[in-house]
Amino acid sequence: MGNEDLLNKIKKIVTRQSFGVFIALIAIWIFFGVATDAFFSFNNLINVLRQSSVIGIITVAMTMLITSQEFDLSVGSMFALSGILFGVLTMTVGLNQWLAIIITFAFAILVGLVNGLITLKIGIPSFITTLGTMMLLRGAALVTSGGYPISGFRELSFINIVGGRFLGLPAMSIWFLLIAFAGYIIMNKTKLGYKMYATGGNTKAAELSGINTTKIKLIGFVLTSVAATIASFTSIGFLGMVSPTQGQGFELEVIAASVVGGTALFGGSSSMIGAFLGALIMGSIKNGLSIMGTSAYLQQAFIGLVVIVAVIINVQFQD
Amino acid sequence: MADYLLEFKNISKVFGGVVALDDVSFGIEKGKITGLVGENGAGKSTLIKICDGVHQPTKGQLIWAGEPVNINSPAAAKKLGISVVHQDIPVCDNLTVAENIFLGPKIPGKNIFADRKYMEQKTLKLFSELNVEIDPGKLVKRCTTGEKQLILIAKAMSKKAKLILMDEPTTALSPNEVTILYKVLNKLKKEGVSIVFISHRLEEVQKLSDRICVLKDGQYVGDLTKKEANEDIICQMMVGRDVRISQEYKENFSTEEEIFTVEGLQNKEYGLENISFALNKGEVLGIFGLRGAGRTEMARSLIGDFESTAAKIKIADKTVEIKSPKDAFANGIGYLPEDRDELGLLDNMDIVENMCITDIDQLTNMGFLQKRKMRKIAEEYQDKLDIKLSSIYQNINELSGGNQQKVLLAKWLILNPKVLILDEPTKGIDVGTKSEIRKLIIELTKNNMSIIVISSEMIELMSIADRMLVMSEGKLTADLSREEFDEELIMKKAVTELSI
Repeated sequence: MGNEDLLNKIKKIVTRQSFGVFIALIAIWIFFGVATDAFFSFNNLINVLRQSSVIGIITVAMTMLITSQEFDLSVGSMFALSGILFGVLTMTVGLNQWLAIIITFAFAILVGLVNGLITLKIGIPSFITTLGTMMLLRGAALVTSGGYPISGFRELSFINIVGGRFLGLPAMSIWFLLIAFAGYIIMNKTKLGYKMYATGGNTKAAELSGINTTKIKLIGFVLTSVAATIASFTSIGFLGMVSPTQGQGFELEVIAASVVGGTALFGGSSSMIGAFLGALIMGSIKNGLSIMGTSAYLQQAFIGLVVIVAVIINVQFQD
Repeated sequence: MADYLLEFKNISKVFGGVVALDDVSFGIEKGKITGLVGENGAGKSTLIKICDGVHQPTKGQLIWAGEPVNINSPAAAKKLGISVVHQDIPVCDNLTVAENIFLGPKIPGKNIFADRKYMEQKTLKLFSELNVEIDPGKLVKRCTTGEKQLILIAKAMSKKAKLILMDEPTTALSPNEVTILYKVLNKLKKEGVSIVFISHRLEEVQKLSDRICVLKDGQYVGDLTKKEANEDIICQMMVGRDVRISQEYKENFSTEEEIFTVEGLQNKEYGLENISFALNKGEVLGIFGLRGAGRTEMARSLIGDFESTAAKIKIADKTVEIKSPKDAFANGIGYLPEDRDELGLLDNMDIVENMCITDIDQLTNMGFLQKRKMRKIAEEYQDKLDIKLSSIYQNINELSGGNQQKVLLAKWLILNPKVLILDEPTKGIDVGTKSEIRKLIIELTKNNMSIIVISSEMIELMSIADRMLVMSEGKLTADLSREEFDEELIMKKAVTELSI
């Protein structure tokens, strides 16, 4: 009997959505560990975490949105525009930095609401709506900045929250860990997460149960937009500058990280642990390939390959 | 004056230009089971949706416990204590049983957190009150249809529903599950819950209901007490014509010539074991089995949709190999699937396209569709099968279930197959069309077609089949000729393996 219990336990772990992605991550790490000398050093592993953080922060919110059956392709552009907006407000206009932060977040919430309301009230697929706002927001970032990066943030005191190091970890990674943990709690322990799963699992059933699915999805849209903005601040904290062209292609990397982590593209099924590991996979590949000295062009191709392989591995472990 | 919980006062509902409900007035008695019957399109579903707050009446007033009310959303209906168990059983497959039951605007738990432990305990308590056993932590996607139905009833109870409306709750249930459902409903009634029960199965409506209300073409025809009701009267009220199964005259056109033989069909995955039978030319062969007996799985294995082993299939003495549905069609076997929505209809395409899809290679010239030819064929079959439509270019989704089924049938008839396998051909369609389809099946055998009809409606099979096979747990347990048909015997054979 004892054996059976153990087998059941093992089966439960192995068929968890996050187990396959965990194996994939280990495989990638072993590969880079063998291929390079530096990969497994303590400092480099912290680097891996840091390189996963920006994508990771957005992935947490994206996973929640995809779970409720919607998409947001505008996060990469929002990642640039919110930083630019903050830069213009503080550097050009000379506004108080805290007021500028509040305005930037208010703007992010507005963008989320616009994405959500166009999608849900008018009935345009979110894929199309956010494809539109992706281009719109990118254009806005380029226009407001005149196409030039904005720097000089190191003089502002807010940089202490989003830059530097705490407990030996880069600030952006701390933010990533906190947000991922919050995401895990929301999806697994709160009423909101419960409603998101229900909305994505069967929208009609959720509606007939008296759930306001429009509101649930709207919250998801706001969260992706806000997450992109937080990511943008942590990026400013690390780099000390913001560029209107930053974050191009992030939307796909984020969705890839989420899907690699076991999120079903048609909603209703996801794992926050998986999404966290998925983001780590993205960071590991970028880091490992840089150490190996491969070109940035090759990195793109390699990430694509890994996404496909990782999803295949993941599917194998699910019953 | 009866004690009404919910009363409809001159309710009308118009969609676009179509009148779905026309000045309907009647009441639902407190603490009773009210049967609601009517043909498809009679307005039953619209009426339910008005109770549920999904639709609002165009005219008229709802009276709840003596007070006029407006029910403008599902949430408002729930607040009053009205719960609807919809026909298509809307549940979230990705959630557990307990999570489905407590899904709603007010989820148990402190502050922002959801208390799953409480939900599971409460679910166990609800189930024990209903005398059913389902693991509250089980994912709903692993539940049977019957279990899902019970989950929705438990959900209604958890909200302290005063009125539960059930739209065709037994269509997809096995007899065993139906018995459990009956028990649960009678128990709820004793506790003072009012129930509205919609069904096409008149026999069960009579058995269960204290009172039967009849709708026809959006109008309220009248009601019958349990004592007054019998199948003849109900049918007459519903359709104004005689559609009783027993009156259908059955001619036998079967010959001695074996057109289709199967030897030793196996399918481990679906538990099919050693299935062998022969179909004669011009015969209607009925296959009866309970849900889960493997009827559909067998049919789909026969046409090569499911992989099977060791089957030797002969068509008119010629051994053929069937590895895919394409092979089956090439050998003159047609299959009308049970699940119209998922396997049959081409969504949002017109009737012509739906009819012509199987024969599309014959209807193209160098890759171009021959629209005129297609239209001619569609018109021919619309006429033959008396399909009610406004235009043959109408979207298939706009047709009623019965007419959709006719279109799907036409799609196979166009190919003129030697063998036609019909899987639950009359499921979920109104009595009138059911009777038409039965007549058509017999008509087809007259023209030398050989037909296998799979059904869980025994009386229907008994009326049209020349011979009947009974299935249980993936095996054939009986091969009965028409003279041997006997309800008790057939049911016994259908549960043979289950009782061991």
